Amino acid sequence: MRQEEGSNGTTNLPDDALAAVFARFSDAADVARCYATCRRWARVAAAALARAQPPEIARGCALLGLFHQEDPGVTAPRKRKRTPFSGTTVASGQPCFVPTAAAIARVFGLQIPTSMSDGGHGASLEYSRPIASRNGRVVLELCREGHGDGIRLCVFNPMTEETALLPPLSGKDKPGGYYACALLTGDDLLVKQPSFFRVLIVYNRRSFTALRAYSSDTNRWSSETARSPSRGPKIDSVRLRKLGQGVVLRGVAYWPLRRSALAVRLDGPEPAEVSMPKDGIPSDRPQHCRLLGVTPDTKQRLCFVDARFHSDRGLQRAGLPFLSFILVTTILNAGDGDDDYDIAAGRWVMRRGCIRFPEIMVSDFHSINLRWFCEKSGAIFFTVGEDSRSSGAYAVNVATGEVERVAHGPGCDNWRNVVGYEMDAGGYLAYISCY
Amino acid sequence: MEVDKGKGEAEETRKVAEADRDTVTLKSSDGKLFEVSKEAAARLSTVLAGMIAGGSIDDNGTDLKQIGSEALENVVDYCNKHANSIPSAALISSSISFNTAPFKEPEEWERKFVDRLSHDALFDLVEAANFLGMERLLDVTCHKISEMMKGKSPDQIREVFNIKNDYTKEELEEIRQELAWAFYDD
Repeated sequence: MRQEEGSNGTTNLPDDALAAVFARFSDAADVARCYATCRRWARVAAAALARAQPPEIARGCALLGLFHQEDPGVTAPRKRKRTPFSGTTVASGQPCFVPTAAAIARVFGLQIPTSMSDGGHGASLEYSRPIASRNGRVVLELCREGHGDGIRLCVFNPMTEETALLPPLSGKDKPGGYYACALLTGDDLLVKQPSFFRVLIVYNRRSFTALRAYSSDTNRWSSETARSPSRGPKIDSVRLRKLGQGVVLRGVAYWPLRRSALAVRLDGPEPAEVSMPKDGIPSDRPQHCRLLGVTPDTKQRLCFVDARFHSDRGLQRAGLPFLSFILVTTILNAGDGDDDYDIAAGRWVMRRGCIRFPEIMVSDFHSINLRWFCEKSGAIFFTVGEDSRSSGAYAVNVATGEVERVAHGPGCDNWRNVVGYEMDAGGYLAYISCY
Repeated sequence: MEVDKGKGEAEETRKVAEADRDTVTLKSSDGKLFEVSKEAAARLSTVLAGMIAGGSIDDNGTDLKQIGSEALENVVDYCNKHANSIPSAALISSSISFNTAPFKEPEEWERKFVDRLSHDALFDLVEAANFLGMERLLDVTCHKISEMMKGKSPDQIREVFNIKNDYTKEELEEIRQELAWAFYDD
């Protein structure tokens, strides 16, 4: 009866109650469609998500893509060209963004600004290279016009264009040679402040592997910490150069080593290495065929993914691409929950089943490059080189095995400094509601 | 025999008197009075628990000016049904906030309880549950409402909830583009 009475007016579900309803959705798309009904609901949807994100929605990824450079940046000649992906003119060497189909049309033109005010240090984003990414932000290494001494990092949010410039590491503080980098944000360290972040770098000195972290709350770099010999020896410099993505789980950053993983806890301003099981990671693959990741289920366990190849003699004799590959996952079993996660006592266990790519054949296993594991969406980015008819860049969902080709052509194989980029649905709605 | 019966009656009367003291009287915005067991009220509503503990319960009817008689009747009904159907161990979990505890699916009787309500009665009940700090009832009612929204297009949601579309055509187009990933099927 009252239902009919109410139908000539607007609904009387007040903001509080609406917020309570939105908080119970498990699919971000439902919230998005409510957002599109009217202004009041949009306001409540955005605010509710910003205030308290249920983990299901936080994990539902609204925006997914990758940043890369087409040339090894610094040495590229200054020319401007059109990229097939961004649809806009960019300088080669400048990081490009490639969205997946799930990414929003708006970001097709997403650009890293070519210059920024940094107090006259002569830093330019034009030749910056993306080195890490997490929770909607990207760490860029800036290239100085004068090729001066030291490294300069900045943390950039492509959606808001906020940039935080880190103090340079120069002189004796300059990391020697290559370094690996990981970004941790407030979500990882249970810090409420949205702009909070920490950056961790790992590099080699003459006789040891060193760790150093920057924290946005102190606005300075920690002192250099040597990797304790009790945790492991100095990391081989060739391996360190290829460490690649640092995966972050419960405030700890992980990189794949030969048989184990390097694990560095960063819940304080000083990095501290965490003990890992001595072995258990399949050790016989080259580093470009292996990645660490996080299982896409609610248990969120550390996992290791590697590519394994199978050759077809018939195709090989016919001179055709003859290697197919599968992705195999090995999970670190170490207790079930947040409180019960004794990593050092854990065991790496290979999971049954694998992901197959029957469409993709290559002639050389170097053509398959696993680039990035997107922890929130459970997607792996990989590229396929020019010796395949299927060359291009792909995103595969590790939970469903669904594959999406995000870019075509052999050029993808030459991409350098590829970092995956994902922003959660809540953050994205909060962003467009300010817009 | 006669003596025994009389004794039994006296006991009955005493029990009723005790039961009287074990209830609280709630008064709706339109002045209607409802009785609910003190124990159920304290266990299911953080606000009523606070009022009982703080001694701010009025024997002549505690004023709940924000809640109409229909919603309050449903609240009381829910409290009684809940007390009858759920073992006390399960009640402990209902006092945990929904943000920390995973939502437990509504029980069969809870589903029936919200299914028979009209939209307006359901919305009023959400408000009442929110006002009285009744997490479990809030969970159950919100779950019902979220099911009314799930998988629907904005147009369908507007129809179900009588929402007036106050976006301009341009704004709507912009939102559709922004949120293209959420509009796969229309």
